[in-house]
Amino acid sequence: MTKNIIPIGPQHPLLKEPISVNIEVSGEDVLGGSLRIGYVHRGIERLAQERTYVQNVHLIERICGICSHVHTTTFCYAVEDLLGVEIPPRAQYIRALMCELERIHSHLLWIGILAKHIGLDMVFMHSWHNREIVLDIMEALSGGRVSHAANLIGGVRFDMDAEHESMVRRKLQKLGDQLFGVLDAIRTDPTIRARTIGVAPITADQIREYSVVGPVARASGVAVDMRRDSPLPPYDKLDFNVITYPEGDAWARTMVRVDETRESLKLCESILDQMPEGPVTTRVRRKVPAGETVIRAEAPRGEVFYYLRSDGSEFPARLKIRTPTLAALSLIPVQLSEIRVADIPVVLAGIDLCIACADR
Amino acid sequence: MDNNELLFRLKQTVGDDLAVLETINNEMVYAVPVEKWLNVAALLTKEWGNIHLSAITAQQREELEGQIEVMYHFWQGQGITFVLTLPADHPEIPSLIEMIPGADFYEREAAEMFGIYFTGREATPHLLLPDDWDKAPPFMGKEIHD
Amino acid sequence: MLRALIDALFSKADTVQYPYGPVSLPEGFRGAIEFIPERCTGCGLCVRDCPANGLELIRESREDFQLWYYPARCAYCGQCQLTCPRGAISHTNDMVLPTTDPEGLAVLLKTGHKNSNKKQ
Repeated sequence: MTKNIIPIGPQHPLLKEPISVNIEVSGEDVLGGSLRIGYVHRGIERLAQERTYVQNVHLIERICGICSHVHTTTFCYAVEDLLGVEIPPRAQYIRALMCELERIHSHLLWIGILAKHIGLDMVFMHSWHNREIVLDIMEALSGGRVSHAANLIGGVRFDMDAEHESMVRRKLQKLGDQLFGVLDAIRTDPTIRARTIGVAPITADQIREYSVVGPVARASGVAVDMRRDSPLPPYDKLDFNVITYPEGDAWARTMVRVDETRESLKLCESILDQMPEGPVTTRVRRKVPAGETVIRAEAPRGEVFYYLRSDGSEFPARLKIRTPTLAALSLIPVQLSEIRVADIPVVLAGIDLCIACADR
Repeated sequence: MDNNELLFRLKQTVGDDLAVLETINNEMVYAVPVEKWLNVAALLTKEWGNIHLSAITAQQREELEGQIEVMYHFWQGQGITFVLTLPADHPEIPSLIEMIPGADFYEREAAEMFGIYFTGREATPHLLLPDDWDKAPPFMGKEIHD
Repeated sequence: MLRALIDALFSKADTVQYPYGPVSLPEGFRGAIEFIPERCTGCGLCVRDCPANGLELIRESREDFQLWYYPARCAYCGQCQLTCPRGAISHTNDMVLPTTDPEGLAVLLKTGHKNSNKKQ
């Protein structure tokens, strides 16, 4: 049979963000593929060297829309480490609450995208409808649905009073009621199982060779979770499970994210229960002393790594960001060699690409 | 293996050129000469079997004129960083993709942003910059290119 | 799933008929800028902290200045509100209306002496 190349992207209805994948097919079998990224490269690391630390908090937030809060949280923890300050405990808990809410809405977005690619529009509509509840909570707390601007160097920008807290609890309760039916339906639905079980399995050895992190790694049995391994406060005081599945196929990747959504809902409840009273900011100097630091955090897609070096001037000397999608992208050519054409959407969606993060 | 045993094995592999630098936020930092880098990488990958590589950071420090510093950040229960120093006029460093295939994307990014040449692999195509980029590497030089 | 279906059947649509109907925004929503000229002394801290170069301070003499605001460049992040030591600039929760001429939107927030309250 003749070989053909199907070009997908950079603009394609299948993709959320621009990426170019050239897939080599022969009949219904996929033989391989190659990948090109860089279409939304804005040069954030280089731009960050020309802006002050206060301005950089807002620049860093715009790396990605889905995981914006985790990026600013990690950057603020890095700057606070260089300044030698520790933020008040209430601010730590509020930051963690926003991180977990972000994880829930990112996974719900992904479940909707996967269902849409398989062809089940109803699940897509339901999960995005439920995602609106989370975005409403975030907007009521911080003032923005996507660009929260919740963090500042030295704490968080807003406080939660009793009314906010009861609103959050009420909405999370409603979300849990509406959501668990959908999640259970995903677990048992025969169409989703038929389209994802056994598709593009990744072994644990491949995960380690390519240094993959996040739900993709946990779906192959490799239990890496920066919330447990290198916890930023207050995750060292919170109790949660690290979800792993051994199969490594697309179904395992789906179930990891479904179970993590439930786990994050429970974590939000614990964070609200344990939140201490107190201020939410602390005074910090403007001038950051010379030094360097490394901070790792758990974004919805895996481990995000920040290296920040300051030389005592008002601009950072070097900011290095390694986002989790960059590690997972190298798996795509590997996975594209053993599937059929109809599985391409499931494989491309399974990695949960956040190309804006990968390109920076 | 714990930190003392790692230090012992590194000294065995590298010799006296190994330097233990100040920790960065409780992560161990070791300075290794470029000639011994492949030996160190073989030690890490064979002892731990596919150690996790978090990132490769390249940077220039003002106090090190005419040199590029490349840092390899690993994670194995705790963070471990290796620092290599290259001369800026011919920065060459052996590639790790035989031992750690996941280093491919990070090496390509360091190569295009700083002009570093990775030996032992085929040429590094551009990862983030466009294919027809004809200006200097973005991080070498003062002005931001359009 | 059936329960979610029945709930959806009997609840009203989520669509907001913008701009023909009222829009309700939460209290903390970062919308259009509100400026109080009496409080501004031309210290320039807001200009330094704005990440989008949305504010500009033009000094005419030691005491006289012009403060310009560019809504098209503004990122609605609220940093100026946090930075201003006198609370002269803040976000309201009014929607910012779209336009086809972004450069023409520049607003002169304050001109004159630092102790005057002349606006525009």
